[in-house]
Amino acid sequence: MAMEVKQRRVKVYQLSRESEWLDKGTGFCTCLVNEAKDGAYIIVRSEEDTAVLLLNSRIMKDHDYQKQQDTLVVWTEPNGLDLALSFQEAEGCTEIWEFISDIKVRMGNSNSSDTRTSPPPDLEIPNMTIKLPEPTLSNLEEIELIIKVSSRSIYEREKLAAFVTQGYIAKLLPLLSTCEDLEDLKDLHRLCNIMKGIIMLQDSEIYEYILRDDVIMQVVGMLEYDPEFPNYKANHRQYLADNSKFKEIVKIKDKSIETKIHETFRLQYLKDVVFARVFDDPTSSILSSLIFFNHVDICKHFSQDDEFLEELFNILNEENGSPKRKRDVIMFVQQLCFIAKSIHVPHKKELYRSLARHGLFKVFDHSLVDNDPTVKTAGGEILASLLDTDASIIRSYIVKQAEEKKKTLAETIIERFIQDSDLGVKAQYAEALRLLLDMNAGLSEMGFIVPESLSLLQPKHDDDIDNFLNLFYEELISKMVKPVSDLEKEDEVLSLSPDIAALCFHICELLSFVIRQHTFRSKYFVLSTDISSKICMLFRSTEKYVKLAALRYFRACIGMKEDFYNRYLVRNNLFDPIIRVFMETKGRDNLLNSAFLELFDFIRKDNIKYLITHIMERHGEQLLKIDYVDTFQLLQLRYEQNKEILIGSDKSPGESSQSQSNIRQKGREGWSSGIGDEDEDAYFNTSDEEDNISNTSGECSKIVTSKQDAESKEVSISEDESKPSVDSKNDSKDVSKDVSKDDSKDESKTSAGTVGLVDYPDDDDDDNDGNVKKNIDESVTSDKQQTSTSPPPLSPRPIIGKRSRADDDDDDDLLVRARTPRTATNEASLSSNGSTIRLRPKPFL
Amino acid sequence: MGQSDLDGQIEKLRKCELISENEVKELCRKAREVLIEESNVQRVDAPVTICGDIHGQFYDLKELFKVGGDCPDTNYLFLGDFVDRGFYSVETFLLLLALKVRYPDRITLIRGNHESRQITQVYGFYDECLRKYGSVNVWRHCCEIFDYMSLSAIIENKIFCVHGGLSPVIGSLDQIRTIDRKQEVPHDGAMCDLLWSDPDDIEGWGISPRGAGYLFGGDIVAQFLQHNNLDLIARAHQLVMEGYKLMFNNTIVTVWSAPNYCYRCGNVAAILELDDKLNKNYKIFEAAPQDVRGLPAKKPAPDYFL
Repeated sequence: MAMEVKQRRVKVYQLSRESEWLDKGTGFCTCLVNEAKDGAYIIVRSEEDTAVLLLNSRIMKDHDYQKQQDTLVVWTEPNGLDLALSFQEAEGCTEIWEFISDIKVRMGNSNSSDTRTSPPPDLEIPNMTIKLPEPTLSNLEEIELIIKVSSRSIYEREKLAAFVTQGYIAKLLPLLSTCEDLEDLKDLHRLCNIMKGIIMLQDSEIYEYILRDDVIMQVVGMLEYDPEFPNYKANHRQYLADNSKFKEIVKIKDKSIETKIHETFRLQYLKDVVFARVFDDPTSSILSSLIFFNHVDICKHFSQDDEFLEELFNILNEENGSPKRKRDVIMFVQQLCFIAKSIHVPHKKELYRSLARHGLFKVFDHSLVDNDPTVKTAGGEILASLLDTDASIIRSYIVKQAEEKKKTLAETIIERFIQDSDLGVKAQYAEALRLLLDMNAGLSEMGFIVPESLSLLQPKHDDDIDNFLNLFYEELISKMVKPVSDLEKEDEVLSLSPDIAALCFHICELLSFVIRQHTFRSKYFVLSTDISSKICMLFRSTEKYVKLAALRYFRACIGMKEDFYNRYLVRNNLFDPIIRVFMETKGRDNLLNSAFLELFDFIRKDNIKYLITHIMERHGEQLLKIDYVDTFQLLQLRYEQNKEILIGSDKSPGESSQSQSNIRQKGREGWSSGIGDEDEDAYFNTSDEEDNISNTSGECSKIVTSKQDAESKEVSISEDESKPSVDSKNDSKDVSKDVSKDDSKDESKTSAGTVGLVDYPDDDDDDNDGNVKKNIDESVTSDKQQTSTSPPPLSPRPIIGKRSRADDDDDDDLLVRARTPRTATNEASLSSNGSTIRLRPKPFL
Repeated sequence: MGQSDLDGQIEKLRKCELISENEVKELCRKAREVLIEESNVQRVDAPVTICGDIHGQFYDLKELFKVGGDCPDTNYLFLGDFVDRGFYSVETFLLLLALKVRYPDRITLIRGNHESRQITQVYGFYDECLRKYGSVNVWRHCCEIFDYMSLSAIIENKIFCVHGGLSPVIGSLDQIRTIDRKQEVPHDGAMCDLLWSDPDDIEGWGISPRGAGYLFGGDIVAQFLQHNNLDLIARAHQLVMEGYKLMFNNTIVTVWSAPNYCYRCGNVAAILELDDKLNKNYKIFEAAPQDVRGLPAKKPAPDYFL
């Protein structure tokens, strides 16, 4: 070798038949002149494996090399292939470019016709094409080896795939039966490896071919003989050959869709069974995306095939139709819902709306009451997917049923919820009820992922929501809570059957949910019924988790920080049972005890003065004996502080807390008289939560604000003090108590965080948080080491990482970096270089 | 459910066989009774073996038991992230849960950030339940149990164990006690931080690139240890190629127990054995060999309409 240029990092691209630049890999580029063979070559060795050549191109005089921008060299090979080199640095590009120009000049000086007719590049160096020999029993080993070797680089895989798609698989297939006839296990193992290797080439054309009806059997037949499991022999063929697995309830007229359905089933089988062990391999994700695209097509088709859907749902109407066939309809719909789960929300909505138009709801009449648990569960799952996607369809349907004086689906759900003895089914219906009652599509609360697009599409207010809620609170809620309201006063201990215990648990959770979600309707329900006293009975349950659920109901009430609830709790002495059960935990450090402590801590941190006063004055003595935590000492301290401030206010002249409270009371008169209209209601709720900022809106609030900054503490305390007398006279008066929270926020921050301090995400983040997904998963310690030299940006606080959708890619990035930390980042910069020009490499598929 | 039933189920699960949905239901009911009695900072006696993330790598969990000794012979503390990503989240979690119910004093399970409804819907556990049981009821039962799991543990008052790390709103262990843990892992706040935070070479607190929890520096660790009179924080949550990693002058250790994570990361795994004097012994182990894994248990759908 006469001449060698310094190695330069480069990406190799090839223009595909679809005129797209395909990324053939990254490697190091060198140019060499091989004087013995009388040629100059551009060579790119893969950076992953230097034995692999990504490119070996002889420099020809008549090649039209073009330098584009500063980092790109593009040319056409004699065989018509367009190739490009994208250099990491302009310097490297210049160097190679000069080398090429230099060689071309030198060639020009020699015999030019010689160059033009020169033989193809030396065979010793791997060629641009990879060929496999005609398969026979004698050369399987060789074929296996070639495939194995060439599977190492993307470039060679592509070459090989291009060859294989030219009818090679068809030549392999007959060998299977030959080997099986000969019982030649060794060759069968080789065939299996060859077929695996071919599938791993990840070529969509190959997949299309092997999934064909006349091909798939032999392909999976080969895959039955896996040398990694010499003692197992799979029976893929037997499984796939069994056509009875495909159930066609209604004839699918579109042949291409039917083909797609079979294809998808086979793909799924390949992915889940045959290739299960290469889990997470790129092949598996390609299979997944092929399945996904088929699913999209299938869903799209069915959402437009009116005739099919009509016929399908009509089966449920047949008077003498076979029950089996009806069940099949349900199972079909369930599968359709299942594959629709992953498709895009607008498509999904379209599908469900189309199903609903053609009679989807009949499915519930048949499935929810079926004796077969599979069918029952299927019905529940269909309901859940529908609610997940578009609860408003179901709400509107229920409202319509009610208008027609029919038994509503909601009633059926509540009935099943109460009557079904299967705890899994109960949980399923509890969830369905919650979704029905969820007005904000705020599924996130219970841990369900809400794509932003979904919450945007969801109308916040439509008539049916109001109608539905009216229906729910007028008729349904009493049915839903019946198991709890039916509880009878018993002795000290309440022993519930597991069934009833689970019901009570779900009812408490649902009530806690509606208290948080629905403003005035749920409040009215709580205040106007004896549900709270019934829930108190659950405190005597032998089941701890039921006690806990009861406690969480009260915690939800207190969490609203509303005078209505606070006064209600106090008036009915509901802290008596709460504190009694708390004392019964005897300081055992368990979940129940912690939940109680959290409740008292919350009252203290948010300085709900009215409750603090009540608790400490009524129960202070016994609570202060508790010394295993300092919760009650702190609560006492807060109580005393609140009192001191009050005394201070008494001394300051000119403070007329009385007049202020009168004004406020006036401003809120509409409130105490019952259920106000919704706007007022909204006002009332927000004013408590959002400190004095929100108070600037609305007339009465202005009055409050005017003095709040300075005297809010005094004001509210003095009201507290004067409470007993007011209380007895007129309930409406003291509704206006305890509005000020301005100090409580600061306090909760400092007292809670003794370790110091970043700006802790506060209320202002909450709106986003509802939809935020924690998507970045394991980051990698060793990776951190690498990057730690550049400290992460700590301030100003960007909202890093708070992204709204789960995105597996991020995650995978981190994993990749775990292996080759440096390369990955370089690669990123390199490819961005390349993509600025006409190179726009696209991912496979 | 009698003890013999339970033993039968453990036997089945040890062989990576599924138990029935009804058995799962019953197991979860039992487990709830046990877990509800545990504290947010569960006390654990030495000797004990600390294990990090498992992530559904059932056969590697079996390797772990081979290296560390069987339960109940060895006292175990698992730092969460039992599910997701691996192939056998269901079997892995149910086996550990069954062991917990059977030997409540010999195995402690605390909650990781993957023990959550949200996360499991994205990273595999949800799909796996659906595939293996045909409905998501098993997933529902398991998620319900996640809510009852303890948030941290303390060994002999000296070693604080948690899945992620510290929280700026938690200065003392007592403050952890006043968390009502029976809920989905929240997006922020103390409970979230304990499950999501990571130590980092910074001073004080930093924003976590994960979008939840915080980064915390050596000074924070030192302060926490001193304030609570502790020696060490043991945590998991981050892949460590070497299986374990000490930081900040040996005041915090990351233990990672999923070898060849996701079947492709090429890392080794570790467990941390503590004797009754709290002497440390790290044991390294590798992924189970291919032939031990057997054929995967994924069953294809019996019928299909689509």
